[in-house]
Amino acid sequence: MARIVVVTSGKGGVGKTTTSASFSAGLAMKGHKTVVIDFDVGLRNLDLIMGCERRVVYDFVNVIQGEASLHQALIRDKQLENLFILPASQTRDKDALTKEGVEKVLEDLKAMDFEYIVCDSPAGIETGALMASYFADDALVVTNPEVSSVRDSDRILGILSAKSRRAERGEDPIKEFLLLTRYSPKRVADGEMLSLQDIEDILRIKLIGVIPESEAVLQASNQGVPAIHLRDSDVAAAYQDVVARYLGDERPLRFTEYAKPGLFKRLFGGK
Amino acid sequence: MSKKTPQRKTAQALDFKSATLYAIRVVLHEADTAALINALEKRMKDAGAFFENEPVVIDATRIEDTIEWPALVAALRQHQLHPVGVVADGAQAAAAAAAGLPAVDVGSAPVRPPSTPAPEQDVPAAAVTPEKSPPEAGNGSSSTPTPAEASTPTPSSSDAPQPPGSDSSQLAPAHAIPTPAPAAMVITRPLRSGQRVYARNTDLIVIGVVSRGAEVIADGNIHVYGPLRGKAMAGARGDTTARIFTTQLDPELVAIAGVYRVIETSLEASLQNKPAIISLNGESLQLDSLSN
Repeated sequence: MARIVVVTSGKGGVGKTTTSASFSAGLAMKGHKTVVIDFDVGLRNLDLIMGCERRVVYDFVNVIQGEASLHQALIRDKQLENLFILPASQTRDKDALTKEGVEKVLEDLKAMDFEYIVCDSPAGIETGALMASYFADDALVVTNPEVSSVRDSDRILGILSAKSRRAERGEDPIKEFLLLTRYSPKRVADGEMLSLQDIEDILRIKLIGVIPESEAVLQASNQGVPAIHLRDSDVAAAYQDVVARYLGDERPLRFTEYAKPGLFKRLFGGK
Repeated sequence: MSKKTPQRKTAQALDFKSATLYAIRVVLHEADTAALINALEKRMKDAGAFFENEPVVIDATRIEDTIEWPALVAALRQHQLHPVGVVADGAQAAAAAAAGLPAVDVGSAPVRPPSTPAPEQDVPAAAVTPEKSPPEAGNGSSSTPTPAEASTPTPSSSDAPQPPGSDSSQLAPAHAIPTPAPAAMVITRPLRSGQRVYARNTDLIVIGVVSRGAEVIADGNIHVYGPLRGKAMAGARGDTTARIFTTQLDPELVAIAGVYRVIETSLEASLQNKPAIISLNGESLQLDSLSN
């Protein structure tokens, strides 16, 4: 039975699309047939991050409005044969997304034997974000360790618990997971950033992982490759951990402790 | 074909429960009927349809002279105002009663009965009717939910509402036990930024966190078993005896009966993030620590 996972945050720019790309790639790497859908109608980014922007012919809105079939719109990832991308429209606006239309696309995807359907939500709490979360079974709430992101994540958690299909039908609630991104242990130690304990205390949902602040993310998006493919980077390792924990493998948290560099490293250019 | 109907207890034909009535209080300053009727006309003309069809309680506490009750009642009825009772003393009350207006006891806010628990032995065994009565009556528990809101006397006693237990001696067993006030609203999920909960006519209990940006409002007391970080407003309809209890005090704003305080900076160490109780003392809010 397919699982619909929404990657959401409320706040913009915290790492939703980066996470959607790496998370879905990670699931595909483990052998699961996965599709990632861009719900940001009008401001699509997922295709850039996945490196398939030149192969977009038809998009999500075309499929909803019957102008193209799913087969025509889905783009198969070049590196992972289990991974597919459904890009957003760049020219339409969000009113093109209707509950019935989105529901039909999700049902059709399930019929195509996809095991995981990852929904990349836009920022905010308007139509795009509400549509992306409405049908979700699980939610990755992406949060930066800073006050406005935490408040917006809290808001989005309230919306997930009240305005989803599961909430309306009185079914089991959406499983919420906290994903901390752009985490810098040094800045936490200096008191500039909220620590993960502070954030857990405020948001009170299960932490699924911590992604460290890293230059690798920018490099990855410039290359058009999900960060999880940059094998030697800390970000890739952190995303692998997240995927593993999501699939049930409990792993200890990494990249959360700040180790002060030794004297030589500090003298000769360490951070 | 006649059916043999089983003997039914007459008690099941109807039930006595509590009700809340919000009424307009018409305060009399003079006894002169003509003056009263004139003033009524003027008021109703100015107010338009605002007061029509409202239940009315006539407050005659300031008047010592005789009032022509039948004329006054007729005048009120003409204006679609329905007198349901009178606030008056002694002879005045008796005169009103003769005209068909019972004496009532009104407070300026929802009446909260004295909090004496019902003694266990007084709760009549027959009052334990399985489905209908709330669990409290069945257990004979000492935390007595009483008909807090009824501002007219229940038929079972002539005094102000009392805990059901102490009424029992005046009642026929199994009949006319007033149903206690609505049970508190209990929330067991975390309340997130932007969410708001309102407990109408009762207390609110939250088991979980009240996040920054969330609002909890109650006509009665508010209990938060968890961090209270948002806004809490108790006694929303004017009950100055309402209080706010929490196991971890860290609010944005607290208010009781409309008197509010914004908490901008940290509270003192004995209160910040500690168990606390907030009450209204005259015109100002009092924050007290709950831990010993």
